[in-house]
Amino acid sequence: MSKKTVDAPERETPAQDIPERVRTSIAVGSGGAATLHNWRNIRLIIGHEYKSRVTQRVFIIVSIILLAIVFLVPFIPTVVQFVQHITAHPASQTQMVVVNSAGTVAGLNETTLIAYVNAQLNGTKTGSSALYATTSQPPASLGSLQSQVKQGKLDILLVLDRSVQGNLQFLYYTNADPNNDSNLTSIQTLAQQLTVLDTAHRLGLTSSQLRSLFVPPSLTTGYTQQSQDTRPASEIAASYVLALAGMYLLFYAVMAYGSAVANGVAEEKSSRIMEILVNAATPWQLLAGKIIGIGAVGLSQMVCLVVVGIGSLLLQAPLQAALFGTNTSGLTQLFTSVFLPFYLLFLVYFLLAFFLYATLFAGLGAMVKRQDEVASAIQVPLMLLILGWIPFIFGLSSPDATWTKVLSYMPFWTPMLMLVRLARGTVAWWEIVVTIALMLVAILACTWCAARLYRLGVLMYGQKPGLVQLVKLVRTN
Amino acid sequence: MGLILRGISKSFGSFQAIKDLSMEVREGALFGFLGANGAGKTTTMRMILDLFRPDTGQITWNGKDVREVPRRSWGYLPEERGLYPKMRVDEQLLFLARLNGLSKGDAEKALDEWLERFQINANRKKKIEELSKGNQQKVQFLATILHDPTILVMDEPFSGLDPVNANMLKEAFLEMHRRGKTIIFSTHQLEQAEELCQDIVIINKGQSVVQGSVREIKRQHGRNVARLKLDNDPEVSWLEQLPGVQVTKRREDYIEMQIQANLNPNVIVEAALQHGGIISRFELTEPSLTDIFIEKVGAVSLPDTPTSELSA
Repeated sequence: MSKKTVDAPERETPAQDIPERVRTSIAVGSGGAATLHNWRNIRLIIGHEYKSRVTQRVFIIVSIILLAIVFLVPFIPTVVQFVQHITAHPASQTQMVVVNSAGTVAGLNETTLIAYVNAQLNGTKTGSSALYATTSQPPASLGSLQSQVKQGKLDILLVLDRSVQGNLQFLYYTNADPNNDSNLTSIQTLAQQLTVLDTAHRLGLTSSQLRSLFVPPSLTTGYTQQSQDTRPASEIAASYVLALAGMYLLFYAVMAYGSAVANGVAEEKSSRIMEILVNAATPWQLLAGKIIGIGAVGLSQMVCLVVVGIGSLLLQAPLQAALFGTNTSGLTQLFTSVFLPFYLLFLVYFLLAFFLYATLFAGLGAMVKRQDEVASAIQVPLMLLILGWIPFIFGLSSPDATWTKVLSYMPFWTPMLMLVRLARGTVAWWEIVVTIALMLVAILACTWCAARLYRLGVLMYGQKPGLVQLVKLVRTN
Repeated sequence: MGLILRGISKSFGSFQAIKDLSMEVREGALFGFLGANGAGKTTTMRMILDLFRPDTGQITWNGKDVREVPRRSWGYLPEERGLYPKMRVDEQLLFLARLNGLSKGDAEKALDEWLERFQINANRKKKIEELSKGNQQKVQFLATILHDPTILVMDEPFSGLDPVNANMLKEAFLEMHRRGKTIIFSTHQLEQAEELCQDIVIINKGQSVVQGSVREIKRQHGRNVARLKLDNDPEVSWLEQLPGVQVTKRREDYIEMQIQANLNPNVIVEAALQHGGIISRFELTEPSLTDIFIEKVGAVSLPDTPTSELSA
């Protein structure tokens, strides 16, 4: 048949050295034999993706900026507190004048009345740290005092008077903003106490009778249900913060790195290197390598951000102690009060979410013709992600509601809702197992679809297929 | 044995790209794959590489279905060239060679050897986008052969190359051929195919039109062609009157004619001498592939003319 085979010496025919098992283990992909090198090729692609991204100048610059932001943000409350500490301190005393036209009030003379008022308003604080400085003036100076209030020289003018029936009447002048009067509540309480004391005095109650009037009620509460949240309040607050922070991280990671996957696929397709790649590796290997590679880049960046962020938060306590002498924030508690399994489970759901969305993004990225079409191609899964915010926000306040539980079994929303349930509600161990299993199933299904889309899409430069065509392609080919 | 395509058909939607195509490429052959634009060359190559699966028919390499042949046996040079524009030449080639199954050491050795041979060693640390077009082409070619594949499938490897680089590529082809590789390449430049290939196939609208060894094909199209040049009479006006001779081309340096099979070519020489011509060139030749290509494809490949085969 061929005289040429004589010139071509007996070469080992490549077809004969494929092991038997390979033929039966064709997963997804073109060349069955390529599955032989599955892990080797995936590792190569991961290395390639990781290296080429981490060494990009843009990536380095963005990472440095992000790290700086994450490092500096925890300093904001400390700085604000510090500024208040040095500026607001001396001018804080409220000057108040009492004009008494009511005669003896509750059996107190002028001096004891002022002492009582000062004691009531300032509580335990005395001297320069007292919030209010109260003095007494005769009724004759009322007119000039009123104009002093108007001009802002005096903060509060309180006029005591009696009605025809002999009841105490108060007139409160202030230059404060009517919508934002921080003194009003204190003055109201003071007026109420003085009225009670004065009425009691006029009724002729003895001091012991008076005391019995103020005995607190004996109220005992019997809860018939056990509290579901036995954790201390600080831990509950911490869980709230952690759930939100976790959600932001999740959202950012899926958005940034998920679309990086879609962009990467589209870039390889538009630069036509794909034609060589699909010959060397199977779509499954390319898909897996790309997603894991970019995921690893994202995870490295996230770990750096989280470590620097927590480190910066932990710095705040000793810093505040040094600045103000007291540790006023409970931030240190926040991270130690929530137990370790939460962090581990968060990491698991975080990774699962990334793989689920990134797989879809990759499949859809393979469908576009040019890179600028990526944004519109990944809209549908992006919408699913954004929709997850709504049940998450409601879930924060009702983590144990039935609908929160039901939605937490939907793989696309499992990460967000399990996050909120783990942090704020109660979760049985089997629920964690089931949701993770469901997510894994969803990831496998998405990978299957994506690998098919990928395989068909990467060599298709024609018109973009519609949704119906896409479904048909995935099902038939 | 070699590569055998048997009754391949492939449709994209309602468009039938390949229709019942059969062909055979002997192992170790340099095989030319010819056809007009849109004839189905790229689709066929992709099916050979198992990037597409044919709807019907079978493709085998040495008796084994191509989908079971290890990937590293194939080297593919796509028509649309593409590499990572921002990646260095050596990193890029090493990545691709290793992806194709080479160990790191082997890949580096092969890289050094081929960069030297292609005289682009100085560019090994440069990014692809910084290279000239010709050098990009060379790198692309290296990406195809670095992993020492057994079968090379090359889609229009000569397009866009200047004569110097084309010649270098031609040498590389012959070198691979000497090493016993099977090379299948498509081309528009028929002179190249004529020069390099033992066997060719010409396809048109997804169907094989002509195939076999170049010599055989030319013999089958056994029109005898003669070329004549007279120094003192460039027009040779009497040639048309000569019975059994039909002038086909008038070129600057010769006149080409077809002569009937039973006509003795000496008649032409005698006639020329009779007319007092000074013969500076007279040769008998076979029809070129271009002639055959145009004869077989030219008539039917006019755009938008449905052929009877296609509508049948």
